[in-house]
Amino acid sequence: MKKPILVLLCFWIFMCFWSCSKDIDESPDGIISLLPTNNGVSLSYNVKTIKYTRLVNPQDSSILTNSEKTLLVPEIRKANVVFEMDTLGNFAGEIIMLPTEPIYPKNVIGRRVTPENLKVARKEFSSSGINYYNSQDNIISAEPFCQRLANYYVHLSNNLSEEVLLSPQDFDLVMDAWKDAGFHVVDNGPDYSSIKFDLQGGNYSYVLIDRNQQSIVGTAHYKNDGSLISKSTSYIQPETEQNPKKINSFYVTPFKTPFSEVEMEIVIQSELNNINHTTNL
Amino acid sequence: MNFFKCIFFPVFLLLSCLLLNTNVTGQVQERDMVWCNGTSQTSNGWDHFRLEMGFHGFQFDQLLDNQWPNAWGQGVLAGADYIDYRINLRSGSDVLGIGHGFGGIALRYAQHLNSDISAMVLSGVPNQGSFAIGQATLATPNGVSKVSEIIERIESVKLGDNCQDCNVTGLFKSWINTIEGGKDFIGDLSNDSDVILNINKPAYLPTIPYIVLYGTVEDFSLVRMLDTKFSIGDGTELVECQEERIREESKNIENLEIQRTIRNTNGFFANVLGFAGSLLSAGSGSPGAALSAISNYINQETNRIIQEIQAQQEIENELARMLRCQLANQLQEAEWMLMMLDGSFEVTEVFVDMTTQEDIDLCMLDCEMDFSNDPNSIHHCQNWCSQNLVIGEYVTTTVFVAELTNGLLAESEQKLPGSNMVAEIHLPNTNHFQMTSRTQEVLVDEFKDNIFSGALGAAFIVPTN
Repeated sequence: MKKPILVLLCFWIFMCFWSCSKDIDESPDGIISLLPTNNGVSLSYNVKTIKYTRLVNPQDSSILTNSEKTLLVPEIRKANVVFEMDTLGNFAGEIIMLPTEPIYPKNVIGRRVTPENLKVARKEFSSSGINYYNSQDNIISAEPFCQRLANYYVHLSNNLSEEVLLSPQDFDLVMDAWKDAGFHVVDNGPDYSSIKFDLQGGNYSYVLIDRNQQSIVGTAHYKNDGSLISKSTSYIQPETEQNPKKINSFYVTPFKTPFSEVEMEIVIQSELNNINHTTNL
Repeated sequence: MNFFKCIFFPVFLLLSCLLLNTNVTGQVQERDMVWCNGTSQTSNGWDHFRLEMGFHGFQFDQLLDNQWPNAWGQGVLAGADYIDYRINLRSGSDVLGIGHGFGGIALRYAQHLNSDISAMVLSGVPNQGSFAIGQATLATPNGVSKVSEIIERIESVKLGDNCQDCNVTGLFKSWINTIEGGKDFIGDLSNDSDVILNINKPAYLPTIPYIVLYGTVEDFSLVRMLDTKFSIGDGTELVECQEERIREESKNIENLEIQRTIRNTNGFFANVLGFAGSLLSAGSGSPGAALSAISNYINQETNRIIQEIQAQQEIENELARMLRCQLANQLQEAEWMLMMLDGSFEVTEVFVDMTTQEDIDLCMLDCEMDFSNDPNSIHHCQNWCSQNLVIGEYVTTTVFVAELTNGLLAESEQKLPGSNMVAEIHLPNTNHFQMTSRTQEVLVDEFKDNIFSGALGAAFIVPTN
């Protein structure tokens, strides 16, 4: 259960900060440094997120209005995330926005530019609260810590030390059990299977299972008319001699442009690298 | 009585001389001026700025009165006539004209009517006409302006998605409505109006010394400009509201995703695997019995599983809604920018590092999700990814780089080359409404230190006390 947790943690924790930036060196150290202890769990990584829209049919490009074409321009953000939790359940974390090279000239039409003093450059959180800082290290906003987020880290902490994997035969048995229970299961080649879930009002969802990872690696949600609501996938690139472990995630939701009524998709794509996870319990 | 005469008359004479001297001195040291506001739709007027200049000690007599708005309500030419009328009525001489927006064009016409106007300062004036004003005042076949049509579309997207935007679109719409409401006179400023075409004929170019002040804003934001127009405080309420809303929205997305993640990682699939793991490790007998037990477990849990997936779907729906709202805001900004430019933007190719797009596995996963119900999806997806995957780390993307604007007028629309131009002064980070603002330091400094001081020529001197 370790991999999907990492994937979802990293991708979604970054989601809310992807529009910020700050100039610092990108080098997470991977040791407990935010809490006054050496015992606990520490997780750090760098994340790069790209948000853009893409055409469902590339030949529709010529139909788009100029303003709609500006939506195709990718927006890139990077951050360094550190999360630590001690054995007593106290935790602390920091998300620092990393510099991105100014790839675009100034005055590119359609790009949103946040005033410097209101731009979140760093977020600091602990068991007691969350603070948002700008690049001058002034607090922009502060709030009590969200219990839901705290629960999330507790779940994470519990699950990071677990690795439940069935043998391939036992896993096949589990997938057969889904079929036996009346669910529509499709084997999509040797590596993937999907399970269909019929929901209220005729809506339905597919869940894509990676048979090797024995985990959910994608979901797709549909309305009752068959139109896509959204789909999301996550993929872990295992560590090799040449490449360190990386986690890639993808979120897609459809969008019809208001002027030319061209079918497009909003895409948020993220890559996590330089992942350091240490457990000292 | 003698004592009274002795004291009273000398004192009377002395006071009379002093008063007379002050009056004479005042007449000599006060410059006749016409401060020509733009229309209320596109200008906050010179009133506060004029007071500011008075606080700095500049001595001038404003020859226009509060009937000026009635005059410009009848168009530029009527406005010019009124300026001429007021100067004659007040016997103005050596008059320095200061114009903003509409007032600047009226002033340029007035200069040809009244020889007592001796110099002009044109701040944020659509000297070459305004493309944006044309788009906001000229009716399309639907009976409304092009800008109104665009706002209606954006409004419709936002309404459909229940987007919260600190009423930015509402304020934008109300601003454009006021411009459209005044199209009979503001339309004179359109880039292809007769008023603009005539005033730029060689014979009508300024025949007196003049200074052009043009403002620009880097990385322009419609929200920031609307803030300047509508905010009653320090002009940042709208921006702060919107940034706060975006932060709040991000937090909502985060909360939704945390719910989703917990469900995913500790949810139904993990539970089933956990149940199967403990069952199989305990040795449950034959594979058939294990299959039956796991199947029964799934059946028992079906309602909870469906609820979880349903909740996930609602979370995804909400996330998608928020993203569509962001795009609607982005489109609104882009549309207004394009409205100002009349095609004067550069198309530039930029190389963007999209490293993750080359990941074949990610492509496969993305594709597999599209064909979840198809056992042959693996073949479709292998073909699709091998043909369509972006190879290499960089992709080329096309961006439109805008000519700088002040939020209403492009830089080139504000400029007015001519043989009598004394200076062309750039006001950086100054939007159209800030071009008459007493709080815009760069503007105050230019008037105080360079224009009224005479540094740019005696024609612009305003005496100080």
